[in-house]
Amino acid sequence: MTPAASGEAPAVPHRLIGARVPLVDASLKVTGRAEYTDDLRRPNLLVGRILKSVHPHARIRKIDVTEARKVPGVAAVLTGDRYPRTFGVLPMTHDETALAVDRVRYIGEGVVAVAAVDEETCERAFARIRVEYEPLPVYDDPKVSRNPVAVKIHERALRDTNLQKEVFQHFGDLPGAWRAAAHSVRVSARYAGVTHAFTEPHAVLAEYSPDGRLTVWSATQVPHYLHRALSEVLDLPMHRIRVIKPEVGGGFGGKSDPFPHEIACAALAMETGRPVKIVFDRDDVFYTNHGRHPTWNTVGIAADALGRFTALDVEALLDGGAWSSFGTVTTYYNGVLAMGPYQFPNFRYHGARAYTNHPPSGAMRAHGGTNIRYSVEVAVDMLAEEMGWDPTELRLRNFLPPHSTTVNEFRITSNSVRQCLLAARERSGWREKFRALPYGQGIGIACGFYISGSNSPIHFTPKFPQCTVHLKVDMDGGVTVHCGAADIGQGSKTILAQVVGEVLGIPLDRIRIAAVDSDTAPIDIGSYSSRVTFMMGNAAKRAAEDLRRQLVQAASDLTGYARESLECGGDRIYVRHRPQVGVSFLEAVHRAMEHTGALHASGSYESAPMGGTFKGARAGTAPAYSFSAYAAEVEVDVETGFVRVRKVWAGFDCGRPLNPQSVEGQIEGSIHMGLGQLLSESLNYRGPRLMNPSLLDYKIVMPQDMPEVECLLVGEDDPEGPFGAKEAGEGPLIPVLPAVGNALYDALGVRFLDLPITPDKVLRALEEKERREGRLSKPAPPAVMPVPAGGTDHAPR
Amino acid sequence: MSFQFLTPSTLPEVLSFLGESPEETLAMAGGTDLLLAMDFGRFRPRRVVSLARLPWRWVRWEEGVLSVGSLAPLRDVERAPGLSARLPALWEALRDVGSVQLRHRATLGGNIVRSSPVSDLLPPLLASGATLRLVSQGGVREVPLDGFLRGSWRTGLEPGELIQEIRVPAPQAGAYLWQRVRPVNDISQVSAAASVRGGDPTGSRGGLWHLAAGGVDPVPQRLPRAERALTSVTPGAEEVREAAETAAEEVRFRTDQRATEGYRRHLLSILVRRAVERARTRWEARG
Repeated sequence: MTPAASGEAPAVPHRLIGARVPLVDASLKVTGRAEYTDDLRRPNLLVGRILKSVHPHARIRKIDVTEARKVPGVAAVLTGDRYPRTFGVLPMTHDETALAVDRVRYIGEGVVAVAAVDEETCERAFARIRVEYEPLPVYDDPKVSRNPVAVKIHERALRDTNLQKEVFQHFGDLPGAWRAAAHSVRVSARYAGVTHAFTEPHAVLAEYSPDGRLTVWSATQVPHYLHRALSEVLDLPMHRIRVIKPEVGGGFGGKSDPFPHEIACAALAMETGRPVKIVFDRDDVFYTNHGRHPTWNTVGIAADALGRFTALDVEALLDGGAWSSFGTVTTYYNGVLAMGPYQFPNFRYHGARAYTNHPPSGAMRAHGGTNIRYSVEVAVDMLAEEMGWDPTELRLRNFLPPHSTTVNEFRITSNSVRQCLLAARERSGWREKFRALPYGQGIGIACGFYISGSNSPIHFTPKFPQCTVHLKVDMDGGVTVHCGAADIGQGSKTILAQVVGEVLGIPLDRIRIAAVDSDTAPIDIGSYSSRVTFMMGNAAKRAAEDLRRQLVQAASDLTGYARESLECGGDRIYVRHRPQVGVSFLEAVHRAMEHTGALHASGSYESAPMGGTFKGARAGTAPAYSFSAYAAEVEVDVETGFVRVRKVWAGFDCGRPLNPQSVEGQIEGSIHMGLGQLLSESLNYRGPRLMNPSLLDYKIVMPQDMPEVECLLVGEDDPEGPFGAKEAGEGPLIPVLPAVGNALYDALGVRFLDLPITPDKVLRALEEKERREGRLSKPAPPAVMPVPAGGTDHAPR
Repeated sequence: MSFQFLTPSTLPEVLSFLGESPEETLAMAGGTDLLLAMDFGRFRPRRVVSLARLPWRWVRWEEGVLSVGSLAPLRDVERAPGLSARLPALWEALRDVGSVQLRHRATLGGNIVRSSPVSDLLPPLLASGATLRLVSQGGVREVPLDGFLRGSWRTGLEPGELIQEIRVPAPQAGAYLWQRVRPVNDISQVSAAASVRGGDPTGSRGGLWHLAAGGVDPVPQRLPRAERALTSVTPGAEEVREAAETAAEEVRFRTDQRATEGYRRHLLSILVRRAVERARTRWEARG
């Protein structure tokens, strides 16, 4: 028994949860000491490069690499026929290969991989490679690809078309609801493809050792899916492959597929017996793409005379590019994520994703929920205007209540969208500004929601939890956390440390987060679908609680007090009603290890069964959803078309923010990314050719152009989230696009339905408006404010 | 790509290297344009002569003239004391070129030799009546910038000749405005510089106003017809409108990936008007 020295103040428990904790790896990153894949060196390292296709669609008649192999310094030359097995992130739609096998399907697809002593030697080898192509018809328009075609891009395309996936869903009676509606609107919009533009280009290092083991270090969001793909394509059992994720400089979905270059690099390492590293140039990153799909969508919303939404009708056509990637999920999401924070008793969706000869589209931050949300929120605004309502009031009338179920059987738990909207409306001065600012200035509002972790793991055989966390305590009292969750800069390591530290009542410096290494880390399925804080957080909390039980038992043995009366905090375990009595954390650890010499604990998370039984019912189901409402204020130079976003008021419900500083960072970063898609970013294609594969001509927003952002975190604890938390990594992106779009309407009286809204498009729209109406003027203010200020509760049905 | 990289430290050495096999040799100042162009395969020199060791990095005021060594980094020029008050058009252009990192590397002389149609620095230099001091093994000559630019990467520089100094008369009230998709770290689609000085309107350098446009074909250029529309240092709205409309008519534009011809034409007119108005305001507010 080791009571604290008498007279010492009772220990104050650490409150790591909810604290503004700097990221645990921040000091390493800002001083340049964090190790990314390109920083890694191995003895006898070779450089790998991939020769890209210059044809958008062509049969490969012949690849002659004889001369390339003779170039001094070349160690291996690999063609697609060596590893022809297909792979892909979704088990149902494997259509990628490590290198093109008998056909190329987009400009930039990998054809030959070379490993050599340096980059120049690779280039010399490339110059001696002869590829004979037979050009095939090129499909660069999904509107063509959806119809019968002469040549299918993939045999697995539907029927005689180049469609990769088609979705039909219908709940309730949409035609009936539409006929009975008092008000209705329909909006058609077009969205250019955008890409992630993360900081660190893709990079991979592979080494094959004489004992038959392959080690792959890669800048990936999904180490486990990479592990599987390597095993499948290279025909090696998973236990002979080790996947390590070093620091990753951003992903945003662009590193959430297993990639051909990762497999090709491993194959080169196996071929040469030497370590091989491939680091992409920026143009390689652009051709690899997997960004947000170029999209055409139409949204119809109907309402009754009381302003209650009665129907939502959605159509979407997506340009999937050459591969499936996440496309099946994207196709579903573009429909099911349209409903979102509103209640619609009738819903119909027809979605299609077409193969084209563009670089593949894939998952990008707020995957599947961004483009459709813009159309929905613009439609809601238009409906409000048609009805003469203030758009905030129309939204307030139609929100999904907390703890409810949508017509397509999404289970909604905590939901503070109403508080988000009220906060954004209040803080932004909405009532004084809406329709009242001078011409060229405006304010807009929009809402959103997003999944807090896909309920369905991509691989469901064998069945195992979505995340497992191991804790290991050594005699030094340091707690090592092993977890497969990939910190890609979003801060999951910090959340992991906060959760473990909170449960055990220890400071962060006792906690070490082990790098993601498949040899030691239990499985986590990856950093995508905003699942990590929710799922890893729960697993970590359970693991820490398991460890706490062991330590509390030890403290009980030492102090003689019952376990129930003991508390962890301040690096001690002490008696709740006599805080000065207790043991230090280290003493408890040593006691607990007395008979085992080791102390371990594990925890895991598996989401509850949910969703309907219809086809596609799992798509979009999640154990919780984040909710949001943003107001944005803009000013437009009506002579030059230049748009400046002055300020964004970001009402966000992520449940309890475990680290508000980190949440605010995600919100600001999301706004940055969303404004890029809205105002300046676009993958410009001339036919199948990408015209701007560089960060000079692909225009992300610069930090200096950022508006002021006021974060309004108004969520309540979610019943199932760790300490009540929900996601904040993707949902914050969604509402900024339509909030600014609606603000532009308020400023100019023009609806912008073709993204990005570049200054030339603004000018053209203003010219058309002036020609049509004879003058430029603000839209009229709402005729009626049907409900008193502050809004009403959800209208009963 | 392989090439010989030479780092001579005296002018005679530099000039002798440049003179040896001029068709295979390129001089490099900051390298921010040249190295990219070499990377893209536009130039494949056998020898690159770095000018980095030449002492031409000064930025100083000399009795009514800003004197800039051609190898002065843009960031140094931008931070010249009093620049924003004495040559506001040039200062406005400098602070918006690329990023701070780039401006520490790129040089004023290099930007002139690059002779880019979308240069942000050439319009204000043209409008300010800048002159260049050129050196070669044959000696020294002084030329006005106006007339020196021929096309993209093409100037009046003779083989083996270097820009040593850029001289800009000051003070001048002026303004520089651009149109970009994003304000920072972007290439201007079209731009306009205006500069106004008092004194004798019949003087040797023409009228009171100097105007110049960027983002035009083939290189940034003066707008003499528009200048003539402005008959006083404080022109009225009608004259300014006239100058702005004339400006858009007197130059050629291209359609490329960054903007269409029609868009550039429309914008130039607006930017010229605003630049003149802003310069006039500054003229009126001068001490």
